[in-house]
Amino acid sequence: MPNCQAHFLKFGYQKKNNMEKIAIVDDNSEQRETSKIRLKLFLKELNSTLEVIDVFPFKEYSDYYGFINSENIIALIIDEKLYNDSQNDKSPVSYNGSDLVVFIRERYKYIPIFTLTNFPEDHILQEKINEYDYIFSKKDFTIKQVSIIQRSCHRYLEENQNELSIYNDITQKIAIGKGVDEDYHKLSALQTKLHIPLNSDIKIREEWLEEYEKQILALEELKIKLKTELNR
Amino acid sequence: MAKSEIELRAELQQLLQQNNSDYRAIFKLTRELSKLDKNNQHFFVDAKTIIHLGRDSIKDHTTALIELVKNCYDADACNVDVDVYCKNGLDYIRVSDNGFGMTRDDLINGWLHIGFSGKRISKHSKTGRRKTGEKGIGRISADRLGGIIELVTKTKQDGIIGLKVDWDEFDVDGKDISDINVEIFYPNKIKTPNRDGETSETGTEITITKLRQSWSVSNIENLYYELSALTPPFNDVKDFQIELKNDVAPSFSRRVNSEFFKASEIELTAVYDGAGSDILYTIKDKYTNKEIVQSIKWQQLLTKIYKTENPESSEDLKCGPVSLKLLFFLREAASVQGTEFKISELREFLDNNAGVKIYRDNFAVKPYGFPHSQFGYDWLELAERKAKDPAGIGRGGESYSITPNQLIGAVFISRDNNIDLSDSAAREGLVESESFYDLRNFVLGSINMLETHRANIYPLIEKSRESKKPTASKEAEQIQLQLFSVKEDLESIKNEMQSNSMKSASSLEIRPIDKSIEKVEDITKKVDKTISELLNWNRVLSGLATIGISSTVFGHETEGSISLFTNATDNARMLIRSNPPEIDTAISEIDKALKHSKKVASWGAYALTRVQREKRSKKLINIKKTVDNVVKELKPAFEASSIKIESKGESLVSKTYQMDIESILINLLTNAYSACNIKGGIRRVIVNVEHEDKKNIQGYNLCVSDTGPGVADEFKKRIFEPLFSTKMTASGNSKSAGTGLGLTIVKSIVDDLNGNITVSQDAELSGAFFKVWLPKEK
Repeated sequence: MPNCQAHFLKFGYQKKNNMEKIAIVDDNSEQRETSKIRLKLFLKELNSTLEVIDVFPFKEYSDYYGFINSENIIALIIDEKLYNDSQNDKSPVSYNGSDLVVFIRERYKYIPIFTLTNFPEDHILQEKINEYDYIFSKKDFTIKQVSIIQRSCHRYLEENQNELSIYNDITQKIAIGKGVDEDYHKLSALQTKLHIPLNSDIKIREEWLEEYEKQILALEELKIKLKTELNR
Repeated sequence: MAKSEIELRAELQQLLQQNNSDYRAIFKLTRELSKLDKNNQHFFVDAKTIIHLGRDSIKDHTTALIELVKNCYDADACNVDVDVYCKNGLDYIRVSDNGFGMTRDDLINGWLHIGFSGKRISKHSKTGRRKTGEKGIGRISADRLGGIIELVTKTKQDGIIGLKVDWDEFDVDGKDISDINVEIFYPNKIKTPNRDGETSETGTEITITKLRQSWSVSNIENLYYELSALTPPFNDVKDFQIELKNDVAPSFSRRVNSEFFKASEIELTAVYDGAGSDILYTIKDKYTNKEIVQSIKWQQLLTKIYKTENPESSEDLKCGPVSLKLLFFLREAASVQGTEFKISELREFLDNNAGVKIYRDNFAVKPYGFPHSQFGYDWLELAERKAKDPAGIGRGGESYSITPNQLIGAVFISRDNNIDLSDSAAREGLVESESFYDLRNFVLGSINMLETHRANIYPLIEKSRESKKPTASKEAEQIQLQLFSVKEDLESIKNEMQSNSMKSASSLEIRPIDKSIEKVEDITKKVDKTISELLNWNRVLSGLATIGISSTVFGHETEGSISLFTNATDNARMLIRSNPPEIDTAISEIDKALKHSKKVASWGAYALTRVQREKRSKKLINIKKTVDNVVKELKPAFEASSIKIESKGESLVSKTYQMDIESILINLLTNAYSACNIKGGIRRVIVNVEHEDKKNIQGYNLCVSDTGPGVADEFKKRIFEPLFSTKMTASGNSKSAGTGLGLTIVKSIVDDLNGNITVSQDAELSGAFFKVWLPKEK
């Protein structure tokens, strides 16, 4: 993940839109648009507040991390054959959906990922079946499939919200200097699970605070010494 | 009633006392007397025996005529005229040579002695030729050709003498062979071959009339090629030249040139102009079809022979200007594939001509290259060299050496320009001077050049052996030809039976032959029809396989359109029903659905039009237009993958099968499509049609180039093999995504159309560049 840090810096926590979204990744613009309309119509029917966003495949795999983070993506629907179309000034990419899913899973282990394809029996796709939550056929993309997507999104969101809440509690505890060793371990695990960039400087920061406090103490002592001298 | 011994003796005495003895009557009486011998008797030979030996035992009239020409060769003739005239009231065959002729004694005790062959006594002619026949029945083969033979012969000793035989007189029951008279006559002149206004003082002229069989064009063609086996393969040499004249196939009325050089693997020419040390080489082989021209220094050549840096020899060749031609042959069936010859004919030709001969002013200098000569045949000691190191070519080029019976060569010198190469006074041949040894080294070095070349092209030879299997259509052509030949032979037999010489043949005898001819004709038609149907069926199968392959590859596009059509229509329905209705979006979805329904329909039409009946017949088609149509049909699929496809080139028309051209193109384009998809970035495919003539054959190229990764060198040899595929998924997944049949189909069609296919890297698009060359037919 060479560009991970760069993307974090680029997108940070300044999310463009805080609404949770489902992203459709497809090189065919017409197909992408139809899938988006369809998904939106069914989500509306299911009274879902989830939004839908569609995107032409990024040239680099690593661009997806920043995209998921900044757009608050909570599920992805990826076409298998991503390498055919070009768009405006963007050339066709050289990977397919089952390659992309492996890369995304390296970081987002539990994010719901679906594939929407004309060839669900494709042997390359079938080999990667464990990486996906579901493989859907474009011919059978109905409300039934969309309700499966919706449930997966909610489950992912709930798990994420619980863990974010625990994460907030622990960080506050540590911030006020009441954190114990167990809190540090939990925080580290949650950071990994929630894909928050690890900050291994916490202990160093504490030491720095101690050092800072010592410096303040030293200044206090200096102030007393100065006052004593002046009063002589 | 038989005469008594006393009566016979009395008649004999009376005949012997006459001044002008009747030798025929004396012979008959003595023969009758000899039958009275109580202790010794002998066989009597029925006159018909000669018919069985000659007419019935010779395979066909071409073979019979060849036997007569072989006699000319054995008589040391240099020139032979062979005339076959059987049209417009003419009816004769004439074989005339300028050999040593026959004396009266040769004629009476040799020619008329059935079964006697001088060739059994000596295997070689007076000038050292290896004699070509031994059975002693060549002369009666004349009976196979015609009813009457007139032979006129002239020698220096005896002058002119002639004899006349009417073979039909032997075809009677109950007569002894000696009862039939052979007329001896003494003509004034003999017509020996005339070359450049000169005729020979000696020779033999045979004229056969009352021909038994009419000659067809294919008979004459066959005769020409069989005669060519007797002649050396170098046009300039004057060893044995045959002039064929006939009124059946005028195109074969010409000097018989040996066509066997066509069967040679390698042809080398070396020229030394007599000054300096440069020798100019030209080497051609039948595998690369390229002519290599190179100049070699004399010292370099010697280094090659003696494998030493500074061989002890003169700086320049002392022998004077000399040129050399070497033909290398393999004595195997593969050598005659694609030629008019049979392997037996090639072997006979090699037996007659193998060896490297020296020709001075175009006449052979004995004993060099002559098979009978102990020191002359292998004067270059090639056999000894091979025996010392028998390494085959497969073991590497350096030690590989050829054997003398694989080589036919001619060294050309002249009296005026090669003064040092003078005749030896003591024995036949040239004086073994420094010049002679230079000449010998020149030939040996040239043979070495040939061996090195053969070792260099060995991988190509191996490859060629792997792909010698004739194509299905060529095999079918062979079967048709064979059946046609059977029919022709039967017709010849029928004509022969109906001819004047065999008037006795009754309609009862002819009827079964008539029926056989009809039957063969019927079978030929049926076989012809079956083969046409099978080839047509093969064409349909190739077309269907092509659709299958292209559907697999382009199928995604069709499937995508179908699902898009379904979903967009359903979307539109939902958008209209929604509250409030989203009309604009609904219309946009309907437009999309319509667009993709048309795409699906056009793919259906694409598949259906591939195997249309009219595309399966051979007719004049515009190749460029066909290419344009295929490109137009596939364009949507290519564009869906961001591949810019374009067809270029010139308009040209050729008589061919449209389906074959389309199958070739679709398979190549399917590959180009897959190759482009492997790489991101700019994707392009170019199809080009252009004229290109090869070896004076008009033709054209169908070229397909792409921006894909190209074909790796290690796969270039294998891509045409069935089930071999280099097609990978876009991510380079090692699993093959192709069927491995597309290029096999292309190769098979190209072979059937007598074309060829090559693959290289495209200079402009840097991907694969497939070039299919096909001959243009009118």
